[in-house]
Amino acid sequence: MSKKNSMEFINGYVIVKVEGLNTEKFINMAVNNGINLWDIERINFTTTIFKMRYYQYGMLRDIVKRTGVKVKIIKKIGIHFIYKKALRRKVFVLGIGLFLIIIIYMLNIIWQIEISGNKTVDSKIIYESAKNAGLKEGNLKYKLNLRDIEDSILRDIKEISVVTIRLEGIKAKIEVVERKMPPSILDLNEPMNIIAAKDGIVLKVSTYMGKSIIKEGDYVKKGQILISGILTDNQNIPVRLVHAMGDVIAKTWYESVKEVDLNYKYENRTGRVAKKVYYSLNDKKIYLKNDNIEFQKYDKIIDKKLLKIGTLKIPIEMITEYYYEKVYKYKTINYDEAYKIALCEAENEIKQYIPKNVKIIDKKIEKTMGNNKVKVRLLYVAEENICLEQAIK
Amino acid sequence: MKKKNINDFKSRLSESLDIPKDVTFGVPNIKMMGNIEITIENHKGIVEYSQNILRINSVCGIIKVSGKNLEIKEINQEYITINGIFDSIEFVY
Repeated sequence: MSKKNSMEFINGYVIVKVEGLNTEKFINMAVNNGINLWDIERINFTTTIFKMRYYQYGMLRDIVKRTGVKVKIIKKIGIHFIYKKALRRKVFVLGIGLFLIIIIYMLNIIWQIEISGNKTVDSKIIYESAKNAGLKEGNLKYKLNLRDIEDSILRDIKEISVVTIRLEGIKAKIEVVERKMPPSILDLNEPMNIIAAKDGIVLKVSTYMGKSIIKEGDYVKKGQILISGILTDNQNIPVRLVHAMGDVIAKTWYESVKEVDLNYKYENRTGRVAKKVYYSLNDKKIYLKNDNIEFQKYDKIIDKKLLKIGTLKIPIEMITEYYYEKVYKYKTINYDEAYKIALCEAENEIKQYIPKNVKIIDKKIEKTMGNNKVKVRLLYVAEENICLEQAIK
Repeated sequence: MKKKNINDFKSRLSESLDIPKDVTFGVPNIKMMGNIEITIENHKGIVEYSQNILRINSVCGIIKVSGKNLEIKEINQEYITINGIFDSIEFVY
């Protein structure tokens, strides 16, 4: 029965209501004229509802005249009627079509590229390499030849041994396996000296190859040869050149001097703020709010936010720039406060340029007061390797 | 007497040639599926139709179907299908 129903839906049928005293006679005459009726339902003594094919509806006219009943179409069902309705609403149908086309187009472009598996290689390099090969956001999926792109990335970046690119919906996932690079081989044939990278007092010398010129406790200057690659015999005649190797641990100093006036100059925000809010996409800016900046001195704070839809990132940034007006003010402070400020400044300055791998042994603070000023000299004593290789000409 | 002879002849002919009797006589072929569906072939139109009683004309008299919520599922020149819950089916001569 269901097959019949679906066929009738395609052909199109109507639900008809008949009102009259002799509906049995009406049905008999209709059937004898070759009209198919189904789902006949007797509502009450005078009304009956049935279904029939739409193209046979015209044949009822003669029968209606002879039996004296009233017929009325309640509902029209079928593709034929939907099609007729659609013709009357062209813009609506056009809208649906356009919507489908846009959806299908949007599903066929790559929106996001995910790179995983890399530990030492920067994601940006892989991304750029993929971009050059043709894989980037906004490209159509079916135009890409993934195997070619993989090959191109492998050729570009030597540190990578395996690349797999998979398209998952609107995402492209790049999975990378890194190659373990062999350690760089020392070219022992090339003669080298070891010189000092910094001033310092030598604490410990260990020589693996070459001849150490310095002893423990020596004071060395920057650029001075520590381990020589020139081997000599007893009469100081050079015999042969070698690649000097060794470690020289030395005591080094990091120093910072700060002077603070008792009439202390400091910055203060006045509380006036100007704001700029804009969306940016590839250097194009769309301003939502753009204040004029009339301040002479200000702190600028930039707040960047990537737009997101669910978990999907869109390459549009919303940027808010805050401009805080500030002025310089003077106030008188006592020696203690000045000393604290100076020490703090000195420590901050040292921390900026001290390397992270050195071991700090000692910290010395010297302060001189007088003449309405506090002078602080901060000295860090550190222990580090000061070796630096230099080729012998 | 003459009609009886013709019927007799028709019956013998259909038996010897293996032709079903509903074709030769035009008698209704009634098929019941439990008490929920009845299909009647070779009907000659509806006489009465209400929710409880349905009377259908045929060669061998009126077939009276009584039951609850009777509904004509389909009707055309060859057959009629009735749905509902039937109590009885009866031939009225």
